[in-house]
Amino acid sequence: MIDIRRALLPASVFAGVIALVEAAVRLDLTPATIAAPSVVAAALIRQWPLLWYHLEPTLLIAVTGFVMALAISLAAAALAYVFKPIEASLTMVGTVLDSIPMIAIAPVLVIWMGLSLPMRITIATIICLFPIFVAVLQGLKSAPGTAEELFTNLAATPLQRFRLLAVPYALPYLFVGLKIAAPLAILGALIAEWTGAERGLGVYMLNAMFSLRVIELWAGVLVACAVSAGGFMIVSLFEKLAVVDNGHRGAGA
Amino acid sequence: MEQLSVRDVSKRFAIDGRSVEVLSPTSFSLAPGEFGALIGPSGCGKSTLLRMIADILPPSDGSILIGGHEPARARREHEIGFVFQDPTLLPWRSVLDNVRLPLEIVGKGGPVSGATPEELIQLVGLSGFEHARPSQLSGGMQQRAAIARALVLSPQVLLLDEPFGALDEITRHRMNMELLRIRAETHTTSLMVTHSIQEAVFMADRVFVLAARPGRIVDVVEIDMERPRKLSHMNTPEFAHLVERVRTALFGDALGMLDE
Repeated sequence: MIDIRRALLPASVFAGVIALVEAAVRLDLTPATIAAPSVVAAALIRQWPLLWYHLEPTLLIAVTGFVMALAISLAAAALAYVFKPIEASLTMVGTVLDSIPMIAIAPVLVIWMGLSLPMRITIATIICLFPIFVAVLQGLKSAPGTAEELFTNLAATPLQRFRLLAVPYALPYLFVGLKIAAPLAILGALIAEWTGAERGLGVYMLNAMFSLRVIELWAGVLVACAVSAGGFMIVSLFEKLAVVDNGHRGAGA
Repeated sequence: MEQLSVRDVSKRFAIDGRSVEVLSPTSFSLAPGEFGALIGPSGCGKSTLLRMIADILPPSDGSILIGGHEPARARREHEIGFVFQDPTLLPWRSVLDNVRLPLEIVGKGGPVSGATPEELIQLVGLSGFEHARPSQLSGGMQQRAAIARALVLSPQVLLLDEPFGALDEITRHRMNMELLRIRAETHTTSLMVTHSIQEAVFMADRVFVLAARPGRIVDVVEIDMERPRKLSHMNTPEFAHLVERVRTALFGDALGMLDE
C-alpha cells in the first residue's frame, strides 16, 4: 500500500529537522518559546490522561460535524444535480457561507445556540460543508460528454444515469473534498472551543497559552496536528477501498 | 424497404444570437444491410447528422425514419447502436461489465439479444480480456469492446462516429477488417463517419461526400467492389479510381489549385 522507499526521504527530512531543533535548544540557541522535542514528547506522555480528557470532546465535535457536513453536502449536491435551476442559488449560498471567516461568525452562533455542544458541532459542520459540496457537485458533472451521449443512446432513465454514471464519476471528487474537509473539521472544533468551553483540546491550548506553559502548548499543537493528519489518512484509506481503478482515480484526484 | 431514411434533414445552431446553418436540407437512405460512409471536412455537419439519426440531437427540420420508426422510438426500442470516436468505456467496469451495460439498463423487459455479451466479446476478438479494466487495454482493444457494447442489443442500425480516428494507421486497417468481418456476421445496417478517403472507399457500399459551410451532400459514390473486401483490394486500379472520384468530389475545382 505505502511505498516505503517513497516515504523514506520525507521521513528522514522530518527526523533531521526534529534533531536540529533538539540540538539548537540544548545548545541554548533558541528563545524560551521553543521547547525541545524530547521535553515535549515527555510532557505528551506524562500529560496523556489530561490530554485525552480534553481531546475526547474535540474528536466528537469534529467527527460529528464532518459526518453531518458529508450528509448535507451529498443531499444538496444531488439536489443541485437533479434540479439544475437551483444549482446556481445553492452554490451562491455555499460561497457566501464559505467566505464568512469562521472566527467572525462563531460569536453569532454562540448567541444563538449558547455555549453548547450543538453550537460547536454546527461550527465544525459549516466549515466542512462547502469543500465537500463543491467537490461532489463538480464530480457529478464530470462524466465525459460522450458517456452522457451513450446513456442517451441507451435510453437510460434519469435514475440509471445518476446511479450508473454520475455517482461513480463523482466518487474520486468526493474524496478530494473529504481530504480537504477532514483537517478543517478539527480546525472548526478548535475554533468552537476557543469561544468558550469546559473541556476540549482548544481549551487545553488556551489554558496553556494564558499561563505561558510553552511545553504543554506544544504538546497540544502536536496532538492537533496528529489528529488532523489522522483524519486525512483515514479518508485516504477509505478512498483506496472505494475507488478501485487507477486510471479512473487519475481523473479526479 | 429502406432501413434508414433521411429526408430533407437540416440543422441550425444559434451562435452568438445568430442562427447558423450547420447542415442544409439533406436526404439519403440506406437499404437493409448496406454500409454507408459519410466523409467531409471538419464542420460539414457529419457528426451532427449522425447524432440526429441517433436522437441525441433534434433536427431543425426534416424527417428521419429507422426501420419505419421515428428516431425517438427507435432509440427507446434500442434499434440504434452507437460507437463514439472515444471508446467511452466506464473505467471502473471490466470489459464484460461494460459490454453488459446496455442489458443492465434495458433490464429484464428489454429485447432478447441475438448474441450474449460473452459471444460478442469473442466476436470482436477480446476473449481472455473479459475481466480486464479499460485502462489495461490498448486504444484499439478498447474500441473493440465499444463495438461489442454497441451490438449487444442487436440494433437495426449501427452508427459509427470516426470509430478508429484516434488509432494509428496500421491498427486502423486491422480494425476496419475486423469491423467488416463482424458486420458480415451480424448484417447490421451501418453508417460510418470518417475523415479518411481510403477508409470510406474500403468499407462502404456507398460514400456520401459532404462539403462544409453549410454542410451538404455534394456527391454519392457507389463502391461496387466485391465483398468480402481484402486489403489487397487497396492496390487495384479500381480502388485507386474510386479514391480519385471521392477526392475530386471532396475538393472539386480546388483540386487543381491545391496542386499548384
